[in-house]
Amino acid sequence: MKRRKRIIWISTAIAAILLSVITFTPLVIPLNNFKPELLGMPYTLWAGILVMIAYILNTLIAIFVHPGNDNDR
Amino acid sequence: MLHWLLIIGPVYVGILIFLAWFSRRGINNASDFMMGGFNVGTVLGFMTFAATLFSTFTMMGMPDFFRIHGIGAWIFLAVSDGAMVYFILWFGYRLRALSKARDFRGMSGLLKEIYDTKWASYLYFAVIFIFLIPYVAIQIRGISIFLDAAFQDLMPYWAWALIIVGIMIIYSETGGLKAIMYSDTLQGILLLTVVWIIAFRLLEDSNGMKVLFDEVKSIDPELLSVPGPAGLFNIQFLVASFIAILMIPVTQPQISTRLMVMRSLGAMKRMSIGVGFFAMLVIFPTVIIGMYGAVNYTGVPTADFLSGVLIYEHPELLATLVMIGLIAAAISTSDSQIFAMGSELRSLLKGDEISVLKKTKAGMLIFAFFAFIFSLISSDQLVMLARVSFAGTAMISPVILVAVFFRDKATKSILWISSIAVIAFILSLIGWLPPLILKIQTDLFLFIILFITTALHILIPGKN
Repeated sequence: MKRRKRIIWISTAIAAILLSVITFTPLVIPLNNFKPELLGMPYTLWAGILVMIAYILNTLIAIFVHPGNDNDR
Repeated sequence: MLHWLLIIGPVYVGILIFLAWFSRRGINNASDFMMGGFNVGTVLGFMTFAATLFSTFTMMGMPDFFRIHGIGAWIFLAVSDGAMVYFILWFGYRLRALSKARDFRGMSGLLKEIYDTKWASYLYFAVIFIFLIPYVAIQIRGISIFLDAAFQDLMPYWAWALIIVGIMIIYSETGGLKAIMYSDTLQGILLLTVVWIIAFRLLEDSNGMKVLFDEVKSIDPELLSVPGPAGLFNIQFLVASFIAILMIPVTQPQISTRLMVMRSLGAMKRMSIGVGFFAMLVIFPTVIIGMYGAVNYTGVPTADFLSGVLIYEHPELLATLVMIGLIAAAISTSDSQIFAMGSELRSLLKGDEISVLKKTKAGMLIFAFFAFIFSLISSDQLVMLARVSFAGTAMISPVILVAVFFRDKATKSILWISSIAVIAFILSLIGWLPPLILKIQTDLFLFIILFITTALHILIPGKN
């Protein structure tokens, strides 16, 4: 169980790094291109919102497998 | 609108007085005053963290940034904040573990102990003084200019600035950190509420999101993608900003203090996720306000755009609440920063608690005075000046990161590396170094050099 938690914890770190790298590629910020649009929003905006949601979900997972003791001061 | 301000304004000041009195009751020693007794729960912690981070910079700076430079501003701030929230889990955990057996008074004192030299603490303190005072000043200037535009001829903007600095310093020196946190909570709720009400109203005026973005497209399609009309959001700018914002919890004392004062590690972890949600909720409406501005306030000066879109287009009561919210935002962020600088000063001082606390309070007064003077002469570019503050303090991130994550490697070499980077960054700001080095933006170039040299320092065996 402890090992599994550690693997997930490290995985969240890898996911955060990957998200950070992906953000600065044309996958999220294609130069001078706002298509495809979603609900009227240009591509970079809605893709950026998805990236941010992914960061938050990743952080949420990380909280449950964090190696520290919650009661530590 | 003035009559509403005369009604709601005193109510707000009354609440501040009550909160200062309430907080003062729980103060038994210097630690209670400066660090909230290291007993801050999840909700208060998350609200104070969020309110300190999202201030006039968000409410006034970001709509203008979206209006002028387009939706790349989302990547600039929101995505960087998302990454920062995750990083808090790593950094906050290790920082708290490192400080566990120590009497944590501030980052300066901690660095002095880890590096075993005063140079570390002086370097940290000098950098936060140089880069936080302008950051405090732009909050004060932003709201003062805004109030001056909203109440033309009532009083000069420096008088508004003086009133705000006065409230800020009296409040924080009376109630301490807990009082600041309570006012942060009040401000955070107010800010989030009014920014969404405004965004909904403007969206309704624009006949929905799709029509709004279609209109932006017809006016200037470059606003809808990067790098934006002025070419600001190029990859280099965005990456350098990402690093600078990611390092905020590491290098800016008003934020790192908030990681330390949490009651438990669990509370800190829950706080971080709350900040993530808050970031998204508070930045998204500024996209709408900015895009509305791009359509309806094209080419208009910043002050006119902000006073129009935040005040004049709304019923008087809402406009007054916006104004109070903005004043609260400016005060809560500025007092957090001034107070954090006071904490750092305290961690450098020796002597009995009473005299140290007196000197700390005097120091805060001096910092506030500097911020006031700087607010009279600084530029109006809220976001860009804030970014300079983030990037400037990020130059000393190796000093803190090595101390926290690789304590055995905390040697003078790291202090040299960061000191040179800070000097180079300052020289670039005053134009003595070019804006590009080897075709790389100077701040990004310095971050790359810092990363390489710090990594080498860590990887080379032994103390170096």
